Amino acid sequence: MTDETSPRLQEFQAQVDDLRLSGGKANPERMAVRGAIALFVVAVALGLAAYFNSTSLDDARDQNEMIILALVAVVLALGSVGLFVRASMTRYFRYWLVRLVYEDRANTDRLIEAIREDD
Amino acid sequence: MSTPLLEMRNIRAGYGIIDVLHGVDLVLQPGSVLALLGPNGAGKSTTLAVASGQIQPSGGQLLIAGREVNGAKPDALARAGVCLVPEGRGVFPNLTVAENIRMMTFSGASYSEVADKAYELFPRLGERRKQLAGTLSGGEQQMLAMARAMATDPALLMLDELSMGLAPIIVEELYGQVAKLAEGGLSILIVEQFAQTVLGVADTAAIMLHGRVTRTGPPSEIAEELTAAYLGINSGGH
Repeated sequence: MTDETSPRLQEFQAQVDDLRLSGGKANPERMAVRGAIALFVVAVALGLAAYFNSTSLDDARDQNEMIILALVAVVLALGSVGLFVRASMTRYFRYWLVRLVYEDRANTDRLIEAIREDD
Repeated sequence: MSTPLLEMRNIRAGYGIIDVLHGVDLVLQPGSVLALLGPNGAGKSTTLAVASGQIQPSGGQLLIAGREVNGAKPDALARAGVCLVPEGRGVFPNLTVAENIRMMTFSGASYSEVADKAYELFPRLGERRKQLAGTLSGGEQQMLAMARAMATDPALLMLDELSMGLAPIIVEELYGQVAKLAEGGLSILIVEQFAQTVLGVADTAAIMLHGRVTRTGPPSEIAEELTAAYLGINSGGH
């Protein structure tokens, strides 16, 4: 074993100490998809609550508040759809990239094989 | 006892809903060589993927140089000095040897500096610098992968199935280089399915079965228990 105070190890220690960590969440896209679905459910519930509440209100100012609440629900729903699409696409494109790399490698193997056969 | 360079505490990880590691405990001391052995599907490569930041653990602690680094990006770990030579080729087959080596200048080192190191380690690569990496022999491709890794001056080198698909004489040559690197003080974690050669260069060995490290000890002791472990016979591991 080497001396722990070797310059390379000290440098390594310093670089590791400087690392920025994201919190160690496994599979962030899956969590984002779940979060988006939950947010959408909340948005729909909020919109429905605003609607049913507004039908029992006589004062236009109270009804305006329910309209604002419904608009917030619409914004939340749109946001959740955006989050869902983004997370789903990220997962899809990651697999797509892996597939491309794999196919590229397989193609190169075929070419090399063909060149060797010609030789 | 010094701070371990790499430590895994009860690491759990997998792919999607499939768990592969069910609580891995592993310690690599600075300047030592640890051989992680086990049959196909034991979770060895997944362990390396977790250690290099490619897979985030769903539980447990990953410590590098004493610091918990769960969530660290693989590129950040690579820049710090954690280097993985993956299973198989790990080279860009449609680039030349020189171009492959040039890819390792990401850390800021100049091409000549990186190339000099690589060709010094494996002179045969210098003779083939203009050849497409995909047209090299399996052994030469592994040399290229190792040379690229060493060109970044890693503090922790992880080798996945170095001997896979190679002739015994080439494996011996590669492990000869690994032994030289270890003598130079590099910390090395080697994953292997076939143990004979790797146990000759390791300071410590561990057996991995079904996503858990079932036994850790000196290579001589592990060698005796390995066959029983592979065949699923209870050998009284910890």
